[in-house]
Amino acid sequence: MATEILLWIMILARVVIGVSLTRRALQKNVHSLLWLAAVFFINGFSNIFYTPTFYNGYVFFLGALPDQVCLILFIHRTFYRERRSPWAIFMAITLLGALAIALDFTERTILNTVSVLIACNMLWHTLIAVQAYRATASDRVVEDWVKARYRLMIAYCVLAVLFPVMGVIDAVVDIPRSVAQPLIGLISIAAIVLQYLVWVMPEGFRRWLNRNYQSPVQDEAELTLSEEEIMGQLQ
Amino acid sequence: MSNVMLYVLGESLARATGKNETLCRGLLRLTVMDSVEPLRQAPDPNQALAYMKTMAFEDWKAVIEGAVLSQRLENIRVNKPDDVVARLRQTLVEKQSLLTMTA
Repeated sequence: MATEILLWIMILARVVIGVSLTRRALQKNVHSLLWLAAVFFINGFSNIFYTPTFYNGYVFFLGALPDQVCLILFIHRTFYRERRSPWAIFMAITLLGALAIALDFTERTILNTVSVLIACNMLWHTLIAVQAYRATASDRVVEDWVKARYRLMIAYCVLAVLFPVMGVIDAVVDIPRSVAQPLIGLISIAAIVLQYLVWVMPEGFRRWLNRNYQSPVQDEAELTLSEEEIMGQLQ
Repeated sequence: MSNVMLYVLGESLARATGKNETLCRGLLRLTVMDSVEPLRQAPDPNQALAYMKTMAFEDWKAVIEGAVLSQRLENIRVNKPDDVVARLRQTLVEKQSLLTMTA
């Protein structure tokens, strides 16, 4: 019963994150966030079939396929415009995964394939997020809450990689269910909490992250500069 | 929330030209106001700042690669304005994720 309630809370959290991302994507003209919103909506929907009441392993694990396609497109549109992107490689891996599932439609094959896909994509997501963070970490004009957002995103990407890694370890070592289940539960909760903090980012939390930040820019003062003053001083 | 891409590009422009960072941000703001039709007709700096917060990657790219910026760089007698534009484009590409992460 407790497990089911927890699962439903996590499903609701994903929907809330998806709605928040969708609103912001449309309000602020950041359309790449729509792909990420889709990831959370699909994930939330497929997790319904992980609850004891509606359990269906096929639907739950197969939900990862469109989920991962949306994630690939989010990563590509956020980090790789006007630069060479390996998105086609990851898309090809996903298609191969779909083919493997079509050829052997069992829960075990679906689970193994989905694990590989998630590991590949989240590893890529982690690496590109670290690279992007490093490019801005020392920028004094980038506020602390933005830098924290990168770091928290990297943290949940690393947690997401742990799931398939645990699956591999389990296949080799056969972790007892009494250990594996609570561990998976803890990692899932931590990941969702981080994702909520990153993408919903309650205002109080954002202000706390930014508490020590002093902007080197004074917009109001700069707006008083006329075109003549700007161009005159630049010449 | 701050106009982070304006600040980042302003910093890059200052490094590329050796000019004052505040003035470089002003130059970029003026360029956006000249490049965007509604802002061109009603040149309110506050409106320009509000608009810049909604600019997507393609919008910034169009401003950087547009004739207005090139002309302004020539007006302030920048050495090798094409190199400066290339530098700004590179900064935009390197820091593009900020447009998503600050949303």
